[in-house]
Amino acid sequence: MKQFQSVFRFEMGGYFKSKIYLVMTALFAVVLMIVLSFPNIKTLLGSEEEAVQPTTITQVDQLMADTVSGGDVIALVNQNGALSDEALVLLANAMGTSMYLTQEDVQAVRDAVKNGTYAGAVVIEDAQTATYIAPTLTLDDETASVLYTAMTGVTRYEMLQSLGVSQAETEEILNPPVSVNVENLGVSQTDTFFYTYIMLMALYMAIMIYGQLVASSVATEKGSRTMELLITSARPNSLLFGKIIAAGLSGLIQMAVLFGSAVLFYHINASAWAGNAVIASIFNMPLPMVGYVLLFFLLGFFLYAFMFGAVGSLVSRVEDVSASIMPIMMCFVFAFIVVITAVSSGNADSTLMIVCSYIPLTSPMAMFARVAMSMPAWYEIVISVVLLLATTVGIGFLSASIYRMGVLMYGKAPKPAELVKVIRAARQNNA
Amino acid sequence: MVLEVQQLQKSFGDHEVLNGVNFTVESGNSLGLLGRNGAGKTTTIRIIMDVFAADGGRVLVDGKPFRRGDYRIGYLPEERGLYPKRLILDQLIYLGTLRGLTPAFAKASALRWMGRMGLMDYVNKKVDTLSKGNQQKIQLAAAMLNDPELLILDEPFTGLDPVNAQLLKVIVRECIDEGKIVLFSSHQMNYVEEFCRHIAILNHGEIVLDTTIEAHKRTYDRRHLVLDLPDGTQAQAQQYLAGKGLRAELQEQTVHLYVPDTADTLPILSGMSGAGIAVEGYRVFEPSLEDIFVEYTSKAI
Repeated sequence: MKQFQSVFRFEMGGYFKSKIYLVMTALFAVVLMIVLSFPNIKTLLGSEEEAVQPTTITQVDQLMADTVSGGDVIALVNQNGALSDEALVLLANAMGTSMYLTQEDVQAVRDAVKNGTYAGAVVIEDAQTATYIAPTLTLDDETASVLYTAMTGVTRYEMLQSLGVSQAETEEILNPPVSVNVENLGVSQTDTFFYTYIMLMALYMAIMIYGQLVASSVATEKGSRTMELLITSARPNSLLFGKIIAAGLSGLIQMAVLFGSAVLFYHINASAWAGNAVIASIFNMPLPMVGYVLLFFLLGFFLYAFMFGAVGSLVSRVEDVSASIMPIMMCFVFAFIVVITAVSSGNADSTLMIVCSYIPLTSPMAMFARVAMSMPAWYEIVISVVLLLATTVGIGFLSASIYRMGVLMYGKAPKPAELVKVIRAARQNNA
Repeated sequence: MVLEVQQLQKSFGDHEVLNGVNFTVESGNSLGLLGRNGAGKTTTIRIIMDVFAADGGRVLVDGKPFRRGDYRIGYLPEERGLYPKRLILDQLIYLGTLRGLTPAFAKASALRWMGRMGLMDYVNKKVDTLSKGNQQKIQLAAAMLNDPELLILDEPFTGLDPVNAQLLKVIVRECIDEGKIVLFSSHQMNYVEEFCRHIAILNHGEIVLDTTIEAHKRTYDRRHLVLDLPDGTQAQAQQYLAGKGLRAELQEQTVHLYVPDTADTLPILSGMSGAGIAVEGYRVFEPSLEDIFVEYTSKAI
């Protein structure tokens, strides 16, 4: 126990005296501070631009006013008077952008769009047909679909009018006073999506980074030949467990600093974020979720760190670490992709996800995503956690055996078949 | 305290490394474990240090199975190194605490040994700023931290300049005088000869010679003499002796004389004087440790 404490203290010292660790942690906190203070910083810099809401139009003359001509305006060409003045007003309001009713012919308008005089143009060919002329069709350009909806509305209006329906009744038919309520018995994925995503990223990064640190730290001890001195001064289990627990705690502390500073800066800037649903959904993460993140981080981290530690003990030099941990990394990246895909598609309970949430290599992320995004039964969570815990303990002992044998083997890393031999030998030695 | 190694056996795969290694060493004594490269010295030491288990045989201290944790041990491994990027003092304290010292005691001890090694300027430096020889001195300091009862030094002299080698010799001799057991592995015979009365020569996993150097030298034929002659008279002397029907050989400008009986020595020498060949001195031939080593390790190869 005393040895374990010495190893733990020395390894922790390694992290807290390492400039990279300190600088990275501070840097992340500063980035979070800037991001979360951004609305306030923007106000301070006075660059806040009020989005110009087009005023509601009541008369067609307003569409021809000089004030609306220029850069951000969409030109409106009413060929052969296809739409009535009243319909044009309706259309312009439904479009929700500044429009300018021009008398130019289509070709002239097309040129004007091309050289940037107008942001675009809508050509009404007849009562049912309109063309949207865009300078470039950007990814987020929704003008065409907005135009479709507007044209549909205008046409319906015209039809109802021609059937002799009164103005008021037409309004009511087009905008019937219907209301729909939602009663959610499960999880609202719009609320859970963002924090699930962020927590998954955090789990992934933390396990990956700190797991690899364990591998390269063991390999460094081996490569620098410090190992023989260590292994003859302390028990291998103290060395491995002390190292892994120190890495886990350093990771946890770093995560705590990051999340702590995120929460702090969010609350400092709370007023500026009022009304931002996404940010609010992230910071309204329920407290039990923090518990689950912790649980799955710890279990997942130890599972992978033990494997990384064992692999680190088998290679001779730090340079060989990255190649040797590849298979484990692939496993982990696979788990991450499966889970992120499922979370993005909103289907956290697909068969693949259910299977993954029980397999210990994938369950830290998969089960966490299911807990966050859907409602697995309590026994499902318990089974997954117990399986994960049992595997982690098992892998822990196995890794300690491999580590004990591996630390003094130099030369090329053993093949899987040789590895089995090593483990067998280690077992016999321990017995 | 008596350290006994009995019948150690060890194979790596099909390769048999140790095949019955035995030796004994007591407090206040040093044992030179000698052997060629790959003879099994480091393997023997690693088994004593419980880095891995032997396939057979045992290691005893005072008749009881040796458990590393029960004794203060200083170990300078052959494959040695320290964390390149950590401060030297931190590492020494760490190694001290791993061996059961309190941090305060480990620090005091580390500083004392760093001072002794003349490395006080490097206390708060990183290891990779040190030269190889200085790194080695740090390793030695690490081995001495816990005032070991058993000091195991595996090739301690490689990489040390003569001044540092002298320092190491003084330290090792002190350890012996203080009643520690020193187990010393090397193939640098001159150092071994200087402070090991007792040697064990390992060859192909077996102890081929386990004795005190003095006693072993006495086992050589006392009738084999080496003559000290003035320069340029060696050939003449050899011819004279051969003419008397004696076996005399000229080896590298030295005359080796084999007398039929030790009682014949003086008459033969006075005969030489009478014949006008000046004899400045003579001694019984004793092989150097290097000669013994070569004799016992070159046979089976």
